[in-house]
Amino acid sequence: MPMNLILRLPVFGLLLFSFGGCIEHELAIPIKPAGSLVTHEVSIGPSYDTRVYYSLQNSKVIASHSPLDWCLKLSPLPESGKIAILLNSSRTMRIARDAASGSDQGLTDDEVQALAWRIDPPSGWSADSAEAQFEVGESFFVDLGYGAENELLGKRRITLQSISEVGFDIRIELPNLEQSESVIVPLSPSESFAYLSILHTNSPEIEPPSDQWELLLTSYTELLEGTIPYQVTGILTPSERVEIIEPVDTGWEEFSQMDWSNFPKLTDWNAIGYDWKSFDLDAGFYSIDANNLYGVVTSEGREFQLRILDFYDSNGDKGHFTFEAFER
Amino acid sequence: MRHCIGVIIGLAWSAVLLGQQAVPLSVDSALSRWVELSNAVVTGERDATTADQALRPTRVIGRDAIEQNASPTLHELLNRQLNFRVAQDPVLGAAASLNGLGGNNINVLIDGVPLAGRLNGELDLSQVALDNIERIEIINGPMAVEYGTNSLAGTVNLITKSRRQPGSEFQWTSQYETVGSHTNSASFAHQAHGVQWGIEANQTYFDGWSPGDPLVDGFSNFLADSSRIALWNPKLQRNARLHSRLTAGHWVFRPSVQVLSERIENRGAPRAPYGRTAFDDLYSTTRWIPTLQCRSFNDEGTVWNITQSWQRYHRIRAAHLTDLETLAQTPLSSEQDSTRMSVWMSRGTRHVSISERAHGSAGWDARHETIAGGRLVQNEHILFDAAVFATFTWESDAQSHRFGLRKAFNSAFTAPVLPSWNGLWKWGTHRFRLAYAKGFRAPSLKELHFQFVDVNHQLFGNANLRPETSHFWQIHWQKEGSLNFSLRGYSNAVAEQIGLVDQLDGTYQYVNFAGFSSQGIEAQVHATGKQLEWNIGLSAFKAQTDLVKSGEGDESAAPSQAATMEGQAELTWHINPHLQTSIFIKYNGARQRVVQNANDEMQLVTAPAYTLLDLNALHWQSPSNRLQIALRLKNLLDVTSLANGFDTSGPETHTSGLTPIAWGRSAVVRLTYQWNQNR
Repeated sequence: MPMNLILRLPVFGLLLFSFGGCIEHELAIPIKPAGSLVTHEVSIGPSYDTRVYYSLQNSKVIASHSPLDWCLKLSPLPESGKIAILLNSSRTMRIARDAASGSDQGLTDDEVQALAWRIDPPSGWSADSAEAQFEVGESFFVDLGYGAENELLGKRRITLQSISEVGFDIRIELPNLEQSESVIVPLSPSESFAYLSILHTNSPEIEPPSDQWELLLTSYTELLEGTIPYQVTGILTPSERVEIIEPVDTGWEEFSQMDWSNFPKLTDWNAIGYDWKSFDLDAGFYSIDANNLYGVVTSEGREFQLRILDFYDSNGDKGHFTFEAFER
Repeated sequence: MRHCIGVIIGLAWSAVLLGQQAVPLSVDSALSRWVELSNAVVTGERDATTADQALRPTRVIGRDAIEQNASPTLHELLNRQLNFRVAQDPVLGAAASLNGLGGNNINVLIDGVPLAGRLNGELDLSQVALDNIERIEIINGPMAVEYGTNSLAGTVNLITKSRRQPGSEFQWTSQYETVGSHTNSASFAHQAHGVQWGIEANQTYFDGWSPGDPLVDGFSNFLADSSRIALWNPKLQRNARLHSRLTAGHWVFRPSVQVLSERIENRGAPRAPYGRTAFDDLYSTTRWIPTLQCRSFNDEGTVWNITQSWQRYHRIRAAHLTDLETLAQTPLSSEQDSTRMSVWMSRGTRHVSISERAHGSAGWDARHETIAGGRLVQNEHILFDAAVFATFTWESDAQSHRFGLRKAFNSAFTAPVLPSWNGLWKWGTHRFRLAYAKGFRAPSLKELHFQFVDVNHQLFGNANLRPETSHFWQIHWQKEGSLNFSLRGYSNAVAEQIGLVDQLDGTYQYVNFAGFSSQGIEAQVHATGKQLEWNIGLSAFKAQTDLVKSGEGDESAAPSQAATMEGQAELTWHINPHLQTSIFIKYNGARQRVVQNANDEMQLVTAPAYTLLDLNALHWQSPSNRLQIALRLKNLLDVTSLANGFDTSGPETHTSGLTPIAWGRSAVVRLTYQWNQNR
């Protein structure tokens, strides 16, 4: 073999190696043994297009519906004769009082835009809040918020024409008073509220009896910096029946051994809320802070300990809540 | 006005078409006209010329400087150039700004072919390998007449290597950087009987870097635990280029094809609470650039200069849920994305000599661009832009002037007529230059048709965007000699800047939102002694952004921005003809920008100052020039990230608020072996 070729072979070998070698590979971590953890899994869909009522008592979904199924929740207030109105915050609905209530003069688009719009407070209304209450005969405007494709659903003027034992008589029309129609919203004999769908002009039955569920998993509207509506996804609780405890810097085991009576109890319906997770803008995914623990105390005196573990399913789709919970 | 412009361009074309025919030259003579001058400048010039004779002040970074910098790709090299800033995005790559303007406003060319593949307006400069680059020419200000769109801030033209003498040559380079990166490249070129051909290939592997990584990071397999994440994502990049040069009569043809393949792994953190799974992204990019350049020559220089290319760019984002116990991956169907671009371009220039002192040129510049991807309205869009341009040059021994005009016809919008003027006065070793150019940037297809809606984002393009335009003035004085001194002042006013703006209804949309102006001054001194060589540059520029939603009349006064100072110095000691050492420092002053906060108010955001310090500890080459060894210590001050001043955290979101600038301290060892048949 010529000497020159012998001398060059190592060079070519080094050349080939330099293009192929020194590339790191990842190795699997050791398989962790399965524990005795009992988890609950509930999905509201990757597009957050379902609202789910969940029972911790029975560890199951009680009911679910689409955010497009309803617009307003109406609750008569027998003492004042008024009606409390709750907006569908899953669609970022807004409401504005009609200064010329009962007027037969419609409003232009600019006038509608200039109304004093508000959303419902993310923590819910206090029982005696006048802002949520409307009188029979009064009219108001609602912004129907966003649809499934994030399209704007438009605005309507609503008039509470009358209330009786059988329900509410409500007129729905465009802000310029065109396309007027009336709908009777029956009041359930077993519950003190009724739901109205302005989109479908009907009264759907969507909320299960209040003693059957503790968690509502849904998208809803928070207020960024106190003023800017912002859609989030989280857990709401029925404040009339459920109180929430949030321990600080407490471990899961330690919390389960503690006396909960000394903790302040939160009645805001977004007390659990959304901030147990955060979207990492750098990584592009949600991460969960499993150190956020919650105590759920019902008016019947039952106590559940809860922490959220995951927001994705095994396919990586969002909106899939996995949480650990047990009754004390 | 339109008729006048038509007449001017028409006359220029008539002169060109009736101009003298090219006289055949010998092969050697033709080739000698291509790029033979050391420190040559070709960007915007009829023929290669020296930097001191060029009509535009041109910064030339030669092969020696590229090797001394030990930067395998363009982003690191530009980060060490005066007035350039380069920031790193873990996913989108390295993006540069020049004199405060970035993104779409820097035109990056390879042998005159604009590089395609901008993501969010930015070209990933870390995808541009420098192994096959002979030199880089940087020109401040728009070159719209010659190169059309995307050059409001400046033009960076990379000139590839080409063998000039008969015979063969082979080069192999291996480089290791202690942050965990190695680059290997090999090239072979051969020339005989007027035909030259060559092949080049290089591979860069980077194992990722995060603060806290060891100072010397080797290459070893690792467990899929929390150590798997990196602030700078690991990547494997491969480049190849096949090129040739053929001569036929008075024509020289340069076909070439360049291929890039890149794979970036964005590994997610093991997910709480058990760390059994992680969300990972894999970004795969391929870019093909087949190019054909044709030139003809006569006794006076280039007659025809024609460039054709057809680029294809494809980037795929594949998101997975990775089971860290088995490394099995489940594709996340909602998180896949693909962007495809293809750009066909043709540019031709015909040069004629009207008299001994007057030259003219006229040409065409056509570009057909297609973009397709999931995040676009209707998935696929086409933009066609065709332009004619003409220049007239008058020169004497003491001065030269060039006037240029360009008129474009665009499938999406009306393009204005773009004039330019460059003047050069020579007085002994002094050079005095004045220039004016109108700049122009057409909205990109992505800015026009982008659409990305999910539960967290609502981002939209805007089919009603207007092009960005600018007026650029420049004055430049240069003194040549053993002490080379230059002073440059400039003013750049950009109207109708395009940006992604919060519409305060939960959506973001590209709009013409701002006016931008900057004025700056820059001084450079270069001195060469017997053994010492030093280079000092200082610059200051003041930018002003006025946020305006064009057409809506809600112009707002923006807070005044402070001037930005920059300085750079390099001292080289030539110990003997084969050994040298140098030290390099660059100070980047604090830079302010105007942004609109969540309350629709304008506020100043300040990026703090930082300094890069490198020591080129050793640069040795054997007497036969076959072997070179270099050792460079980089970023000795350990600058890594800058607080970007943005408070983008909100409900459900958080961000680090840091912009990565560079990885930490590192040492680079570079070994080059070259064999040349003629030596």
